[in-house]
Amino acid sequence: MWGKLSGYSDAFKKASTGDDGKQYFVPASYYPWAMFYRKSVWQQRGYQVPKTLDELNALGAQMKKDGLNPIAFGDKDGWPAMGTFDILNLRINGYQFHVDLMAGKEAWTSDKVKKVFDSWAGLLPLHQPDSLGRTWQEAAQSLQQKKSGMYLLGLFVAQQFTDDEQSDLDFFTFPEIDPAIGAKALDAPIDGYMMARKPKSEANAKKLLEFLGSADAANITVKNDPSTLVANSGADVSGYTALQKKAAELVGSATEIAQFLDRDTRPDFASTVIIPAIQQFIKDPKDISGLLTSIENQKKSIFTG
Amino acid sequence: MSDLPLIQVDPAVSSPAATTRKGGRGRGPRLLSRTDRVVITLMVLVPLLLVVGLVWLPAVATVALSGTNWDGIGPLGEIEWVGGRNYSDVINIYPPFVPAVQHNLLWLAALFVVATPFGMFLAVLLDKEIRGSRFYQTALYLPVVLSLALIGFVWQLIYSRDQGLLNAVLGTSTDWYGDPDVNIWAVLVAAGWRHVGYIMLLYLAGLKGVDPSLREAASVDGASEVTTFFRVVFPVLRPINIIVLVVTVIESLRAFDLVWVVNKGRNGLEMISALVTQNVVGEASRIGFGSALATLMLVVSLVFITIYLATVMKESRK
Repeated sequence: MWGKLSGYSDAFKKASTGDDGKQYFVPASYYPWAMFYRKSVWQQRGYQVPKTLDELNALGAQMKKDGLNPIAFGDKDGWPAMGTFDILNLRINGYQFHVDLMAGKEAWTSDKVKKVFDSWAGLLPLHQPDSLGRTWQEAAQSLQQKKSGMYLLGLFVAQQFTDDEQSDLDFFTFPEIDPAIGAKALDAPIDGYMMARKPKSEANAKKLLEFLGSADAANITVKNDPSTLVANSGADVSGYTALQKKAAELVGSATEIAQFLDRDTRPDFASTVIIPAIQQFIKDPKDISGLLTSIENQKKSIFTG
Repeated sequence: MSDLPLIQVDPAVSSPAATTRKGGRGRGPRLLSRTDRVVITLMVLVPLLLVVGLVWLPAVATVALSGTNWDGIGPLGEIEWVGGRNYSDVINIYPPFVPAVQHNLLWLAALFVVATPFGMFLAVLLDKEIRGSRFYQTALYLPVVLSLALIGFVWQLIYSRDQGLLNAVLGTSTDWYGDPDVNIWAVLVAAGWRHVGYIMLLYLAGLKGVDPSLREAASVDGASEVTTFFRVVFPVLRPINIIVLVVTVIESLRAFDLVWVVNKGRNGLEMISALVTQNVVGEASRIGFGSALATLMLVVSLVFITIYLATVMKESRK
């Protein structure tokens, strides 16, 4: 039924295609992950958007002096920290390595992965402490309450801000770490709909999917949710806030888009191995080799099935 | 014209009746009518089918699946057998396993040493029929009645690091739920709060059944309150004590809901039951691996059940 859908770019079609060349997915919405901040706070303090890792570190040190948490952080649910891992891996090792690591083709014990965790350990002091007891909503609220300087999260962070605060929210993409790699890649998960293999009423299910993939359905989303972007390019996006427009531009111009760790890799690996491992790392960032060996052993057991 | 025929008993008719009645008294089953037999069969068969179908078959299936690496998707014929690999993985390379076992044992110790005796103590106090005892009973039992999801939510409001009541009142910024050294104790307080009410009610019911003449005899002999309880009442309450002990052990092995509601059983709150659920339910769908964890839990439970049954059998033989 993909043939009946219109308004999807080639990139979306590709993302919806399985290994066998068939489409399994009707995209509905998507959103980028980026560093969000409140414009008013930054203007008041004279902060500038950092373009490199060194600038980010300097900015964080300045924010600490000013009494703010430089980077808000809440990993009680386990998955938010995956965003940090993803972006660091994309910046340090590049898109292809990240995709291969997710697919199980690269070893977690490799030096490249170790480099990512080392950098993360260097950045941890800038993150909000005691993150393992804090949900992402509470961390976003710390950004909204002007207690934190910035927050690496998806566009849905806007849900924690009131309607009139939406215009105060802005973002920048995570700064480059390796000049050879740059800062073009990002995480932009796509949410959408799928159909069971044998539904009770296949014709009706397909009709529903057609509607959900149409511009009309997308228009309803635009009207009601200022924290996501619609995938159908035929939708009327004049109702987008400035934040949404900027986000759409960011994803539109990105050449390398990842789907987020727990979607790019096997879900059983992501939820039963990576979540506890990252939480262990946040608790104790010192024993990185031990942690990576443990992840690699479990990965071998799961991926070989 | 004789008046004999009216009361003449036909011997041919009377003897079968006599035989039936004699037969009925002699052989038991004949006492039950057909309806009775059908009802009794149903009363045994229906629960039996339910227990076999909903408890025994899944248990056996779990043990069988623990030797596979099934992920819950696809036809049963495609399941791959991996033997003991899941078990060696659980014990050797699965980091949350050892903490989970420790936490289950800690839960058992905390309930056994603190919560259960406290519940018993409260029951003894309430047995004295002090003023307002009905109010106290209700107040103490209320946590048992509340759903665990609600309890998790209520305690979240108290324990939250940034927005919780406890930190606001004490002025601290302890990460009650996020600090793995602290959160198991925080959750044990919430679990104990609930367990105390449960034990209190069980014990109170048992205490009400104690023969008052025993207590009078003890006080006539000049025994103090404490001596009366430990020397006279406690031994008499042996059946209740056993029930309370079993309930405590079951609750600690079963401990799941609170931990799951807090943070899905991670980061210092690992419990075996939560690990099983993490692996089997939801996107993880590691059915084979989760079944291995569940089988281990079953084995541990069997140890306690065997001890309990052996004790009870010894009792009934005495």
